[in-house]
Amino acid sequence: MTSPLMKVEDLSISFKIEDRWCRAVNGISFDIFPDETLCIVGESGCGKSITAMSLMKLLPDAAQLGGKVIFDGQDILSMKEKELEGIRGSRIAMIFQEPMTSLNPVLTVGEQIAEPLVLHKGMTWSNARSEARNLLDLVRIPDAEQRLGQYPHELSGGMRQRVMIAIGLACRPEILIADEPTTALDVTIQAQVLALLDDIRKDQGLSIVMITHDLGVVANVADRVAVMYAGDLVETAPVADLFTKPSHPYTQALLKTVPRADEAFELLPIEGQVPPIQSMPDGCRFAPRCVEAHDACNVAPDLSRGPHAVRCWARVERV
Amino acid sequence: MTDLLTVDGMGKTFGTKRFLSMKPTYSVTALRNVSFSIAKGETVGVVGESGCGKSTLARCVLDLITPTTGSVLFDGTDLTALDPASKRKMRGRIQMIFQDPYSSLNGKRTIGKTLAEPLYVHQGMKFKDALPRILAVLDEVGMPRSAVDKYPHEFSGGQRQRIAIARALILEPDLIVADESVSALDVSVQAQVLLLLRRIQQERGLSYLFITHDLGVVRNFCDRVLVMYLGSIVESGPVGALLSNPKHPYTKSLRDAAPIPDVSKRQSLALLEGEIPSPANPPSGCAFHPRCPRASEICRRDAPALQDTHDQRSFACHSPQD
Repeated sequence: MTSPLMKVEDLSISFKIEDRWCRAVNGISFDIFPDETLCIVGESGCGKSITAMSLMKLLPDAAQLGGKVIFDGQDILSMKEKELEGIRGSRIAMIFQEPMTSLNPVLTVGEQIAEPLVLHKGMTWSNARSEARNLLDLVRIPDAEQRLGQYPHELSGGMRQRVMIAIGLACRPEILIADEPTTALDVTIQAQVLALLDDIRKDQGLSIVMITHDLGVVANVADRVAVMYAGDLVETAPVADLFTKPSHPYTQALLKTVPRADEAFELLPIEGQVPPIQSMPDGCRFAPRCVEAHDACNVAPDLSRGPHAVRCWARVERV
Repeated sequence: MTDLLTVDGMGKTFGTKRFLSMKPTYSVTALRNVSFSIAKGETVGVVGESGCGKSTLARCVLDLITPTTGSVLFDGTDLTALDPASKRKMRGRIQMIFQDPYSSLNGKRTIGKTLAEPLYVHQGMKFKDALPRILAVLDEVGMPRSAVDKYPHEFSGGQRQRIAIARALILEPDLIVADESVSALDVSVQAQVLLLLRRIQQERGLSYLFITHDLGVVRNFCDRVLVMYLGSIVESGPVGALLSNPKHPYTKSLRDAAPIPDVSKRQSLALLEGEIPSPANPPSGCAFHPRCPRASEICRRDAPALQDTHDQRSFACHSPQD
């Protein structure tokens, strides 16, 4: 088995709310292997986005970080800003959900793609510009030469997301973190962007960490999946196992709530709602909504070991 | 089944009028000759990508924007021909639920006040007299009665959408127009709200016009569906038949691009090239032809008309799928 490219060990992220530290991410561990797509899936507020941000230590000072994010033998969380500059945008890159707000409206597409090349690779602007042209070809934007001089508002949503991907790929990163990259797009454009990301991953041999709430997207692009609920990583598995043998009661319940375009079936909602972060239960955080909850759930279970790991007392023996 | 709502030949053109200006006028046709009907107790879905005119359609049905052409027959009365006073009366019977319950509820008003307003506007009812009906409708949507004195910010997205549903229900409408009403919700909550809407329909026998971009939701919630592309209906029919055997290549592309949460159905999501054209500058002939894998010469020249098939379906295509 290949060794992981990045190891996340017991990562916790806390914010101070009303003078108490509340854990938004509650001690999670996972690995990112070379040349794979890892999907982190969960509903709003489960901590998937701040987990992604923490992989590059992109969190505000108000956040208290615990645990380690080991990349290339070093702990990213204990790096200084200066050291991080050598990694962010060059060895680990990120693309966001809403390309309009993450692109600079007053710079041309060409300038924005060229910028990381100048900053990280020390290229001249003119070399960087011709490399930017190649990158636009890579993300399949037609008329690349003309597009270089355009501003973000002149592009459609799908084109903007392609530009974001081009910026992310500019320095040939080893890991591309994509936070809901297709959520704001129409399905036909989503399909184009997902196919593009998958082709690029195969060609360039990079790893993609995709944050999404859409289990349909997960089933179609992931190699491995990590399911999060209320700051806990509740289950992680190869994608086929997760959909055919979901183990955690939350994963099982979640799969029954997703309406499918190919068949009608009775949706089974998960009763109740995610507890507010200030009053998370001490034990398993899903217990208040779990149909299988029992006394043992008052103490938080650990994630089991192995490729298909579950964090649930009811599953400890079975998996 | 009798038709509750019949929309006939509806069109909507947005544009500037020339006034003391040398600039040429421009216009955007957002809706083009749209006709459909909704039976009592039926749920009709409208799907399509951004900019296809589905929200304009919803707003035209409610006359929130006035359609340029066409008629809206509601329970036998032509809404477009009514004087403002009678129109207002009819409006109590058609209600709307919006996408974003954060912006559609007034943050400075208690839930009780928000729910009392339709009763005051339409029936002149005072808050005190309205209270029993407010409490009853809160029960119906599964919200605690204590919500009456609370403000929207005290509730989660799913709860707010329940409140928005309560507001739509309080006038006991016959038709509810729901514009992407579950799109902003997490799936576990979305399922709760969909089941609530279905239960309400069974109990009250009302109809829904359900605008969404999510084919999964359509499949599980609607009886019939209209597929729109660039302002026109390109295909319509019963949900099951339409999605399992689409006639129009656009419907097929849309369906094949929708990711299914099932690894055994994993596929390279069938790719539709290109993007939806600008409605300000629509293509000649069939609006879908620049992206259509089956397009031929006639598609570039002539826009196909909607043709009916025997099984309550219709489609507008020169070379439909088998």
